Amino acid sequence: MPWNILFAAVSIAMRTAMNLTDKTDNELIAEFKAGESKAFDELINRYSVKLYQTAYGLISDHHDAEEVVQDAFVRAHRALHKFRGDAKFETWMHRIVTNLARNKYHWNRRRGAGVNISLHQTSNQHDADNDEHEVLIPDKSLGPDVMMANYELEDSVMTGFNKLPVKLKEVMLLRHVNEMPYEKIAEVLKCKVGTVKSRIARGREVLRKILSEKRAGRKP
Amino acid sequence: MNRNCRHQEKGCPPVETVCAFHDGEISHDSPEARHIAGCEACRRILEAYELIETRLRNKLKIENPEALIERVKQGVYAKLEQPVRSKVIPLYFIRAAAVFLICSVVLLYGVNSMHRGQTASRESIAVASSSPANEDMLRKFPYYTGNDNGVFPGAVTENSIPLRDFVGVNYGDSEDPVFESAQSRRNFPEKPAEIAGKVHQVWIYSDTAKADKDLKNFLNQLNVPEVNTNLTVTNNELKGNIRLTKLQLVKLVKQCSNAGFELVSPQSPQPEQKIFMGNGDSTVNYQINVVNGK
Repeated sequence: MPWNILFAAVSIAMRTAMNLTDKTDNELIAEFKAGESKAFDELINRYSVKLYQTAYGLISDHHDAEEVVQDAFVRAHRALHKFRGDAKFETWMHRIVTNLARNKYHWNRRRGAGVNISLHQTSNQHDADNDEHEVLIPDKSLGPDVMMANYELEDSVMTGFNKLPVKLKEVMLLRHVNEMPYEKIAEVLKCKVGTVKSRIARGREVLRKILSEKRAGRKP
Repeated sequence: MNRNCRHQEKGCPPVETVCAFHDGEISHDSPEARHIAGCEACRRILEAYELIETRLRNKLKIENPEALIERVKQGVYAKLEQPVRSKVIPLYFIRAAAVFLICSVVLLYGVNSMHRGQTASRESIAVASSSPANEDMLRKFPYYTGNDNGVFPGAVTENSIPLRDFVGVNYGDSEDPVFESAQSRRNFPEKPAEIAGKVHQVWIYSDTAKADKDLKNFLNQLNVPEVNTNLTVTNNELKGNIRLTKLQLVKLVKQCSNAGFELVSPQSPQPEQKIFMGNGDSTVNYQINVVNGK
């Protein structure tokens, strides 16, 4: 008899867990408001990575980026009971993260810390003691000279990206990393779609020029 | 953005359009899309964009997302267990406090100024006019020109009203005065004057003895009982305490003015005033000083 109860409890738990992943954000929020704390875990599961990528792209520091994401979820947790659902949860979270990351970026700049740290440098430094943030290594079938050239190109792109103004970085990250459509980016950043288009184009053009200069310099 | 970039000179669309095409934000049937698809320069730009995008994605790719999620969760719940920091004072509260503070300072300053004004008024003395005769008169008779609270001789302050400012006032015609209630004051183009229960006025006249005679004559014409009149004449000054109605006072002031008395006190009734607040039958204690000035 106890086995039956245990089995039933496990199956209910599994069903609940399965159900959570199938549910929409709004359903999860409703459950969270009703007292189901696991629903918030599911929201963290869904958006942590994307939010982290955005934060890291903006502030170029793993530790700060993680803290920004944590702070964003803490704020969301405390304010979720007031969340009316006018905007999507994802949009709302991205807005919190971009704001926090922007604040952190400016704070770091004022302190003079992290100004000259590129994504590449921080990534490598961090990788030395923690391989969770490893850089994606290019195809190993390529020869060492091609791999080196790719590294250089990647490095120059990232150096250029780090030098972009925060406003351009934001749109490029939301577009390229989070794959958001222009309208959603405009919603997150509270600006017009035309502004988003223009910023994306500006950012890409800066990087494209850096890339073409790099390529031209490599040619004999 | 430099819209006149090299590729645009060849008839290529602006880079925003190429970007939008790259992001799938413009229809592939549009003329721009057809151009981009067949243009070598645009294709190279698209390739560069593709490369940039790939590089960015690669650079920001998380190798172990589960570990990251776990760290985020731990951090979130650890922070949620910490006591909530006391809220920073909201900006609107600071603004409201600042406005309140400024208003308080202004109010305090205003009240203080009024208080000082009143005190000074009580203690003020008429400053001598530029003429030596008036200066001499003021030395002899340092009357206040202040307010309705009475005369307090003996002090000189910077806030006193110069006698010369009240000489040669246009007293206007001699129409009968009008007394109106406070509610009807808005019907009049000029502000109705208010006569206090106790009025003190200083006049200048050439002959004090004649002034005494004229004044008694006026009071008689106005049917002011003699018992209510107390006039004393010294060498250079006439002093009097008269109990009369407001209407009688207004008429007396006008008659004095018409007879050549020069009023130097600012309080109501002034000879040129015609409209007054209140009731003409109300009683007034009138203190008069006539100074031998001309």
